[in-house]
Order: sequence, then structure tokens, then C-alpha cells
Amino acid sequence: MTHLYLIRHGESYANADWENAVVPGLKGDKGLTPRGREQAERLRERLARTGKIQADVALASPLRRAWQTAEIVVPALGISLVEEPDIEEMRGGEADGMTVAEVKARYGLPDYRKEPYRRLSPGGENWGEFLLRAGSALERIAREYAGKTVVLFTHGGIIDASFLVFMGLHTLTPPPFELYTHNTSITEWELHHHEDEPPRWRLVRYNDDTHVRDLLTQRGDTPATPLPTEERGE
Amino acid sequence: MADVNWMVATTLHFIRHGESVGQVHGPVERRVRGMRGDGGLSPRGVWQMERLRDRLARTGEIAADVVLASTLPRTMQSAEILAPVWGLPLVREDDLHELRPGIADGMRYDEAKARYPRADFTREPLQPAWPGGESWGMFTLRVGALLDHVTREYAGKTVVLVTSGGVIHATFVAFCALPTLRLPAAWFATRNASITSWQVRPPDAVWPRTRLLRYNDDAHPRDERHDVKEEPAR
Repeated sequence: MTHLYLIRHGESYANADWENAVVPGLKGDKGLTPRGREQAERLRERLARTGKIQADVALASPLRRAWQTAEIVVPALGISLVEEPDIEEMRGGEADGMTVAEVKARYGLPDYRKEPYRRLSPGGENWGEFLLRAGSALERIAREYAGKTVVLFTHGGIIDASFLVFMGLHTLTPPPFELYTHNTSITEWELHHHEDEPPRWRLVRYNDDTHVRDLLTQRGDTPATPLPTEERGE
Repeated sequence: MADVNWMVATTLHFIRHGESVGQVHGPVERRVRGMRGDGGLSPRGVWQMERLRDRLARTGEIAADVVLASTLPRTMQSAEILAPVWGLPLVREDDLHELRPGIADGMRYDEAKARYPRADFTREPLQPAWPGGESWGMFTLRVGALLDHVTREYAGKTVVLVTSGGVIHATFVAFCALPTLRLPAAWFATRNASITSWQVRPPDAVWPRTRLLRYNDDAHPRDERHDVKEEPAR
């Protein structure tokens, strides 16, 4: 059995103040807020105390908010951290680092319902491209670390992708449901192998935020949206 | 902000019953637990529900407007333990029933297997589990229709539904728009006395209509040594 633990990063500057944020790609990501660091410290303390996750490998997205979260938490796991670029959030392209207002003025904000194949800006990914990249990475990681326990320090979009890919949903247009993944929450999947059947993923838990219930972003109504959209941009 | 629209959503908290008599593995005790075979909660099951009751009373995290319970003994008994948290009357809802087993109800699994051909839902999801029982397709249809009814009847309210693992699995089928006439590509492992929470918006609201808030939340103290996962109907 292969275990995947997907951990969303702590509160980032883009999470805390979306209106004034810039597109948080490799260039624009300003990392964790003090609250985001505290959330990550809480997770580290929880994992160290319970010893529940006996991880063989820890992978982290290279985006600053995920990498910083990983650096704070990983001492509790007692293993070293490996960078995994393919568990980065949906890529925005050349809009990386621009304010939402600039993006809106230069490219307009996408509404993926109406234009699922639209990219935020040149060089970015559209929904289907993002899901293909994320799904391929999850499948590759599960194969490479078959039978092991893997912790991924990653993003809301990658956790969305795990649901869509493992549940076998359509990935060229956005799904009819959304997830509401809290900062530093744990989502756990197990891969089971059965005779004469394809391997099957099993969801063990989603959005386990026991350690930060009292420490969530004030604007707790904000889901983990990877990039500015028509809905989020106003 | 379109997010405001989630404030008009109906919130559904699904609670799986505590461990039941006969849920424990083993060829002799393990019985088909329909209306006849359900022996109610085991002592450990009672304990689990009391821990959940104490947690909910302490945190006040679920402000229920209505509490629905499946009519099976193990779910009614679980709901009765929780009821003082809200002081509301329990509404009996027969359509929250676990997959209906038909003629094998009350038999030991090995006995039932020897006497009747058991449909393997992996290969034949549209055949009844046992004669007179439900197929996977009938089950997901029944649960989907119930969820539609509940979200209309209690629009905008907070609803607690005390039910069985299979029904919680079927919420993913209905709310994530998974194929209904075959088993999901991924599976679930819903724990006793755990909470799974969804929000559903009115049909005319902006997309997406549903969102998952948490799955398998059993943060209240539990007797982990004895935690038993229910095997899904296969």
C-alpha cells in the first residue's frame, strides 16, 4: 500500500490580502505570513507529538509558500526535503508577479466555465494542461515510491487535482464541485492493489485542520483558488 | 464577491454511526446488517458516539436546525446519543438507510454467500447485492434523490444526517457528479462516528453548486487500538 499525504501550505501573503496581492508564481510568491508560519509550526508540533506520519520521503513544491511550510514542518518527520517542480500550483505564465488589477487590464480575467482552455497569460497553463501535469506527477510519484509513505507540501490546486484524477473525473473543464482546503490541513490517500483489478485510491481524510482550527485566515470564506478568475478578481 | 453566495447554501453534516455489533471482522460474528440483522451499537460504538457528543457540545461547531437519522438500529441509537447536543427531535428518514441487502439480511456473511450468489459490484454494479436487495445503481439513485429532497426541504439550513458509510460514499457520487451506474474509481474509508460536511447551493446559484468542507473528521478522542474500518459493499 502506498500512502500520500498532501499538505497545503500555510497562509501566504496572497491568501491574506488577495485584492492587493500579485500573482503568486515562482517570481511573485512572497511566502508565508506570520500566521502562516504559526500554522506550520502547529503542524510540526502535532506531527512530532503524535508520530502518526512515518514518512519515507518529503517532496515540496518550489513555490516559496510551500517550500517555507515544508522547511518548518519537515524536522518533525526526520527526513530531508526534495524539490518536486510538478506539484507547483497552476502556472500563470508571464502574469507571474503582476497585481490582479494589472492582469485584468492586460489580459482580462478568465472565467474557466466559459473558456476552459484559456490561459491566464502567455506561457501559463490552462485547466486541462494543469490537470494533466498534476495527474501525471501524482501517478509518477506513486509509482516511484510504491509501497512507501510520501508527504507532499503543496497547494490547493494539486489537492483538487488528486480528487479529480483519482476519482476518474473529466479534467478538461472545471468540475461541478469545489474543495475548501484550509492552510496546512492534511489530506490523505492510500493506493490499494487488488488481484485482477486496477489499483484503487482510497480517500482516508480530507481537510484535517485539527491543529489550526483557531488559527485560520480571518476571511475564512476564501477557498484555495490558484489564480485570479472572474469570480475571485472583483 | 461571489463567495458570499455560499452563505445561502444548505450545510449538510453526515455522521457515521458508532461501531455496531457484528461490524467486527470474523467469520462468525460478521452479519449482513439490514433492518433484521442490525444488532445496534457495540459498547465501543456507544463510547465513540458519547465522545462525539461531548465534543460537539463543547465546541458548538454544528448549529443544527434539524437532525435526520436513518431508521436502522445502529444509526437511530447513534442519533439518540447525539440528540442532547441540539435538543431537537429526531426526524426518521428511511432513505438514509445503508444499501438494502434483501434476502440475506440477518445472515452471517459466509452463510449468505453459500446460499445466494452475491453480485460483485466491480463487475455487475446493476445487479442486486442479494435477491430482493439493491444494486449499486439503485442505491446511488435513491441517495441522490434524497439529497436533492433534503437540500430543497431545508434550503439554507444546517442539517445533521446520522447515517451509514455507504450513504456517505454515495454523497461523493451525487455531489462530485461521479458516474452513478458503476463503482467509483476511488474508494472511501469512512470511520465510525466521523463527520463529513458538504455545502450545497440552490440550483440557480452560480457554479459550482457543491463544496466539500471535510471528510472523516474524527478528531474527538477515539479508541484507536480498536478502530475498525467498515468494508464497503462489494
